[in-house]
Amino acid sequence: MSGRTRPQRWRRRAAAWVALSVALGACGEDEPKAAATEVLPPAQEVRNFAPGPIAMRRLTRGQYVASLRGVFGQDLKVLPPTEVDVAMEGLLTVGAKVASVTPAGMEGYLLSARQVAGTVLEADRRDQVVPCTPKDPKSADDACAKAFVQAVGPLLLRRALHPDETPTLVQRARTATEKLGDFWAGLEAVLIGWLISPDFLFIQERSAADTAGTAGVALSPESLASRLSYFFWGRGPDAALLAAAADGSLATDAGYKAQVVRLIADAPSLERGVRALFSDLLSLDKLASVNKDNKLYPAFTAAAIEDAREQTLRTIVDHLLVRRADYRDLFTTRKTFMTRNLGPIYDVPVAKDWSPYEFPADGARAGLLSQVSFLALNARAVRSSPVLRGVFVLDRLLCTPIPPPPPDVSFDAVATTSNNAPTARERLAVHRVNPSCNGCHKVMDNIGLALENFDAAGRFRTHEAGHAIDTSGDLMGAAYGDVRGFYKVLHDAPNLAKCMVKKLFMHSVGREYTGAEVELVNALNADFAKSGFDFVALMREIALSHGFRATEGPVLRDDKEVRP
Amino acid sequence: MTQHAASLLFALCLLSTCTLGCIAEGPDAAPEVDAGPWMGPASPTTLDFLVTSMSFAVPEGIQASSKTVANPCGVKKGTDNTLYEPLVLDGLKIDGFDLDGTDTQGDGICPHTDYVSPSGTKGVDYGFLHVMDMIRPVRPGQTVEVVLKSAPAQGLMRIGLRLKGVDDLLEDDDVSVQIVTTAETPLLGADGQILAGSSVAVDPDPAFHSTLPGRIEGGVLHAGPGDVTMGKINLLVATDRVIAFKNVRIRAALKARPTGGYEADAIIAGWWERESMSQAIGKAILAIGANQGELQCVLDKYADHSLDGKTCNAMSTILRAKAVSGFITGLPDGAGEP
Amino acid sequence: MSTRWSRRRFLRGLVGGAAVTVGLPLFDALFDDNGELLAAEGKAPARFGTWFWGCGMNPQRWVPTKDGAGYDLPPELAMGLEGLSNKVSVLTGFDTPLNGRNNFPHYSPLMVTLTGDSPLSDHHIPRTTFDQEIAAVIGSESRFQSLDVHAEGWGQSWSAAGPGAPMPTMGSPLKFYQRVFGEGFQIGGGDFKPDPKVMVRKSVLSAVLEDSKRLKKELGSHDRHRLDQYFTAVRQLEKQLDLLLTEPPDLAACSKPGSTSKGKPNGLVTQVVANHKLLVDLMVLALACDQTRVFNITLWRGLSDVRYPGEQVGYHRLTHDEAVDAKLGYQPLSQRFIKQAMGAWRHLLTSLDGIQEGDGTLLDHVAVLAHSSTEFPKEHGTQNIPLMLAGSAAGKFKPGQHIRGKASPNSRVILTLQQAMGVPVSSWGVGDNETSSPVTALLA
Repeated sequence: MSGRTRPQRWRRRAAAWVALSVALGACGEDEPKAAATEVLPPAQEVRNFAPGPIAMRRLTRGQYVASLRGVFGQDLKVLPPTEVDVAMEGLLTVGAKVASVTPAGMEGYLLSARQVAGTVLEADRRDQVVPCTPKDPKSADDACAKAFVQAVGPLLLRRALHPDETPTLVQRARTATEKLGDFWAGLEAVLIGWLISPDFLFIQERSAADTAGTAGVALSPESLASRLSYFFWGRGPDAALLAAAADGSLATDAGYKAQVVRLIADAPSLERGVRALFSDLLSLDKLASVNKDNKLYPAFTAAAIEDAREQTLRTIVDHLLVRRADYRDLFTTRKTFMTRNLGPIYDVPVAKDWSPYEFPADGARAGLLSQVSFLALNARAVRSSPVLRGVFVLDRLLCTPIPPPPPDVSFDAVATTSNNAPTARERLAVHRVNPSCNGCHKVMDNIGLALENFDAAGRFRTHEAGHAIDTSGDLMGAAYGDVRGFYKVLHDAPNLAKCMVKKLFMHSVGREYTGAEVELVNALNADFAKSGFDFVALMREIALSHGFRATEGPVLRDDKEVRP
Repeated sequence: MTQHAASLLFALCLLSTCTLGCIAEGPDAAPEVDAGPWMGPASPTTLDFLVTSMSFAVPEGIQASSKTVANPCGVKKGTDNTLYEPLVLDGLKIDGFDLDGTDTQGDGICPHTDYVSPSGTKGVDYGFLHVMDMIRPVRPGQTVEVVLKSAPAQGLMRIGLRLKGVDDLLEDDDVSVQIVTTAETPLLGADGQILAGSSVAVDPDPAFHSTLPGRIEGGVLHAGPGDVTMGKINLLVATDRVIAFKNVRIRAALKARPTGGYEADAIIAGWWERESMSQAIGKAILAIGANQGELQCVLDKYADHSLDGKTCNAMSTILRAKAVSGFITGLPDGAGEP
Repeated sequence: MSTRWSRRRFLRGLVGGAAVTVGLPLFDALFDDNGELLAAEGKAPARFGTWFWGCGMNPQRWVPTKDGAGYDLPPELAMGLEGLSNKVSVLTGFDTPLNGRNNFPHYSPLMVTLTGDSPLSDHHIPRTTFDQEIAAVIGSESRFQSLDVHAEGWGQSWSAAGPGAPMPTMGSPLKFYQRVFGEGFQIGGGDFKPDPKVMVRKSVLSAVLEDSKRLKKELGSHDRHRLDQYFTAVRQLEKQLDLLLTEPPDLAACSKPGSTSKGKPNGLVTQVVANHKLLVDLMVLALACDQTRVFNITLWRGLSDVRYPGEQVGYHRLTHDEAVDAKLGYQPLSQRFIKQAMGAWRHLLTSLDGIQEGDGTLLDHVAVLAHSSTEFPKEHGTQNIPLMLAGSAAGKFKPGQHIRGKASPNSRVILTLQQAMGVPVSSWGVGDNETSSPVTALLA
């Protein structure tokens, strides 16, 4: 795989893409001029971008749990909040910018806060977070309470405490202690207060007063610390990052780079961050609520579902972080990991859980799209769904969202044909023939039909209801004869890598791609290609870009909003 | 439409075009496992099966006598054995094998009854049916075959089968059949049944690995003769027992399952030696109120093979077993090993 | 404006030496002839709820031919309302115009019904849903501002406190039981001692509100409304804790249910209906015990996969796939689901009607809007979305009528409901849904 020949191929594919986009009209990619011929500057030098507005992001459920574990230890049991996460652009971390709090959700936050505070301050755990022992466990001890407040507060709130904050909190601990006759109950009250406060539940961005040197306004060092840590680690900043924000080093180029290097070097934390991203992008958390017919899919057990999620994440971590392999190969790699619970679905022997497994070269399985997590999630309870699978691939992996059916569409056409169709291909034939459907359905159904070798639970099959399944088709003009050919075509689609760049950028800054960052994204994409599609390098380049570090403001001066 | 016919129709539907008409008539339960011959791609050369249920054969129509029948082995101590359930054996059709040729009397032959199979095969040997007389009612309302049914799923009976050298699942005149004890219990599926495709490690003790010659005719596996020893069997209160049969024959219908993999429905018959039987079930029968004396009495009366002077030292026994395809790991020479 | 019926007012009444003897069940006392003060101001509170079932009905088997009171019951309507039609109004011919936007099947009409505007995508929430507008007015005196359950076990409600604030919902009867009748549930008539731990917890909430004032100043205008939603939520929680510190009234209709089952929905229609029954039974007791005055119940989604055992096609797909039987005039297999849905609706109505509360039944003191995602589901239409309004909300509505919308938007119905329940709105809806013309025939 020489880097030289690839751009050639890209351009051919890109041309096919353009042609198809025109044909599809509303269905195609809005901005297909991707791999253009002009020489792009490295992403770090791009200054022509539109930084997004300052945001207040509600922690997603995953970020909530990860943030607490980051502070109190990875073994901490956390009752997840009940508030519903909102997706935008297929990412909950982007939807977080509009997510709000409901009364019922607040009730859930309080329950979680009580459970976490109770657990953290249990007798056998409290030494990990309270740096002192109270003089008398039944009465207030301001000095010890103060030590606790100052040690834990900044880590939870992701900022230095305000000058008047510490005494207020120490007093709060004292009041509660006196009411309940228990020193620890006083700390618990403080902890619960933090966990339900908007300073914890919302990642609040601030702009720095000093705006020189970049498009837009620089984020304040504390905001930048949060942005960095949620991007790389999926959790709030640790003490070192907060210290770098406080002592000004994060605001210097060298200090900033040093932190980026440090965040990447911490392999377990980086792994958690990358897992969080892909859980979100692939909606893996939804797997837990997937129901399949017990009798038709007995192998789809609760344990198998859990392992399917983990299998995908392990494959990703191994591929992108351990082996630092080409991102696009994630969709063709035959390497994965297998467990006893998954064996019956894949129909393979498994001697030991999580042993590395390589699918045979002549089989139908390769890459993430042949894994049970994706296949089962994007299917119905009783049958596979080419439409769901196709839409998912287009939306999440190719950044080609499908517009909804037109308002005047007649569903009658679909309804009357399906009854006696042997396989999904025939059932969906109307989609691809009827002019009001075929613009979009031809693309998405084709993708889904290529994956029809896998049933609703992700088991391999060659026949549906006794009829041979035909998995040939084409993706954006590139034809394939079977599902293995499809993986290859997807691998070579120019938008596969670029879509990852876009999604990762959106995830990193917590807002949607508007098109105003086109130059930045193109430059990042070129850097990504240059690195041999090294995912970690892409993360680094995003973090080092000006676009990541900036906001369009406003700046607050004397409690007034000032537009820069 | 009868339930059975509905199931059959439904199963057929799974294989052909299933349309709403079928659904309208479909039974409440999931499709019966009756999918007809296998229709996947090329047959594997090695195919493992995991036993999902195994018990002593119970002929169709068997029933306890309505009359009070004198206990033929009434070596009671004090009270009557209320669980003793004399079975009416006359006229029963029993599917099994003629292990000894058709003779029932004569020199060197232990006198015994030969049965006829439902398809008309004569000379079927099943001496153990007389032991069933004694052991069948395990608890009031529960017979031994019902109790044993869940034993494999509970890990109380862990038996695997490996077919090697399979070129064609429908017709193959030379396959080898390994019967092994496994060290693990297969996974249970979302439907509560042992899951096809489960992997289990083999028990390393070579004493519990037996091999029989075999062939496949019309999708039916025929194996034997040969000796088979199955270990680590738990029967009621008796743990870690061994069941050793001589001159074993196996007949097993192989089928594809509509929910994936294959299944086998097997009849296993052989001679169970007196010593081995006493060791295996001697303790278990205590739990149901019988005792060794009664067992020895029944053996004295009905053992039907291995005449040694005046004593017959083995009894023909038939097991019925069902199995699903899976994977046995750790067997030497294992094709398909990870 | 609306009738207040707060616990605190009861207690004030008691302390003030009203003509009620302590120990007499308060609720019964309310309707006693001699309780002058309470009788004057205390009626059973008006409660409000919604009940949603996906995939509509067959209009020719559902829409009554007679208008007004004493309407007839075509077969599918009869499945739900036989014997109850005098307590339920049926609304037909109301549309959900999409303001020229795309139709996200089963979702767009639902959002128009709930928000008066049409969504931009299949998960976009255009505005606060009207049940939450009502909850903001009548829900603040009860322990829960609103309660939400989903018999299919879905994690998210249709109800939303705003565009980024979809309400959580519950599908597990056991979890729902624990939330309502577990810790924090108080029943009147016993010994009452406020829990100092709850007092501390409440003071924590107050302190958080206090601390957050600074944030309000720091944050620009851009996110202020979300912060306001946060404050509203915390204040509601504060009230909830307040109630825990107050002696609960002894409500005659209230009894604590025994525990319930886990009931994990597995997608089978029988199981979802059974789950719905468990959830409804708990919800009815939650209302009787005044734990909430606003509720939402979902039987199943419009895109539901709910199916019969052994069948391979779920309901939604079936409504498209199945041909209309020429002889019968409807889809016989899909029909079974409509029957199940109407049976489930009937269960809610009879359960509400089975609880005596003073001068009437719980059903008389509640208004429940039943609504669906389509009319005839095979076609994903946005017109003639079926609506039913059960109960009279303690005299606010005149039930038992068939009212035709004549192709006017159903936002008119929603406006009527809000106004009757005390929401200060004079118009509702956006674009083609905007209306200031309530359906006055609904009102008492």
